Amino acid sequence: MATLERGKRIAGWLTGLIGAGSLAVTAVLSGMLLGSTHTASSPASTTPSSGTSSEPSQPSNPSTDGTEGDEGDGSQSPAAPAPAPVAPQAPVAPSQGGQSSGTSSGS
Amino acid sequence: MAPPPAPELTSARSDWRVWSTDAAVVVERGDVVDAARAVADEVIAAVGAACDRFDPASELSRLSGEQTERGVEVSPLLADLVATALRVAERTGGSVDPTLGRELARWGYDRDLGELEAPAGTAEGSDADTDAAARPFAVSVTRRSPGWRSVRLAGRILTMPASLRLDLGATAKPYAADLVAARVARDLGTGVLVSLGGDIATAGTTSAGGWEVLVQDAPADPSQQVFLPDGSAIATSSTQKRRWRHDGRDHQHILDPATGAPVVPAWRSATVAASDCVEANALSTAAIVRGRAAAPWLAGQGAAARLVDLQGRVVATGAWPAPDTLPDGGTR
Repeated sequence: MATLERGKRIAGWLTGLIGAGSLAVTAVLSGMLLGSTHTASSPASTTPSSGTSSEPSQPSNPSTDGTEGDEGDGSQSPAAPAPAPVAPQAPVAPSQGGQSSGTSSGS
Repeated sequence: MAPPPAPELTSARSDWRVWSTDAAVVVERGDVVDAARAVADEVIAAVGAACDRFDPASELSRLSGEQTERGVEVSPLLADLVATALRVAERTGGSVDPTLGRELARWGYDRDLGELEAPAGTAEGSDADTDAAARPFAVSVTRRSPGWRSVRLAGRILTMPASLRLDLGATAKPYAADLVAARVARDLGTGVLVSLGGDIATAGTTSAGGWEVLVQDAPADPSQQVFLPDGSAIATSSTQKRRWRHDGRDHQHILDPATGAPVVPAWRSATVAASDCVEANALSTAAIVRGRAAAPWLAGQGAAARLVDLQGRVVATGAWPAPDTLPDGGTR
């Protein structure tokens, strides 16, 4: 009898787990379909929404993410490419048209 | 609660005359133009009170040779102005020397320009003695040692030989333009363009990312409109402006520190764009002093510059933008 009761509790727990899992899967699929504009209020539905942001994914910067060395086989990782030097902005450029705001002349 | 109204982005300007030249302040936020003008008036008055050599009450005018020979404590503003002038002298290899006050007076530039006799051939000047200008004349010109190297500034203690007279005119104007622009942008939160006699400083940010500026000295000279990015500056030095007549001869105000005499012009004007107005003016003034050697010197400095020779031909160096058209004979 006790064994039968324990079996019923386990079966009920499994049924609840499967139900919750189904809801979660449904929420994930709904979120994916609705995209980033989905504004469901339940916490379960916000995770996939944020995971499918409309912003393009950014490639990780090998010089800053620090994962290659950690996951490598101990061999030295190739040197990260040096960032391109930032060229100083020229203090003057061709006219873009329009009315001038001032005149540079001798005084 | 309703959000505050957006700032008015219709630009506005204020124009006036100061230091015998035209001044203007242009702000992108038109609603602060009066406040910007007040900042300009305050800064210009303070700079003038510190170093106007034509004002007998200015701090610089009141310094006696005995005091400077012994060493005298000056105001923070005058100390900064002198320090700026000495940096410019160093930067230009002595081509812009702040110790030419006595020489300028010797050539007749001892009062405000409006009080001097206008040069011949101008609307204001008499041309009755134009023959004198054509006759050869001799002046006593001797090599002078670089005066700026004998000026010492330790903190606010200024020491220099009693025989020297400072003239900070070459650097005080662009210094003031830079200072006005910086204060207007900081205090009023607007992109701003400040023009003092054609020395132009900008500060803050504008929706266009910069300002359109016309580069032209005299009306008959070749012109070019350029784009000055926010935070940049531009200055023009001219041998055609700020002229006067003295002892029957016309003179212009840029002296050669090596001789103490007015430069014999190789250029009508020199224009330089730089990150601040003091730097731009230093290079443009030095270009006039250096004469024909100015173009390779500016190029060596990496300066974005535009020179107009006596025939109106344009020579550009560095990152100076190509004009749409050049006058006949123009070169780059």
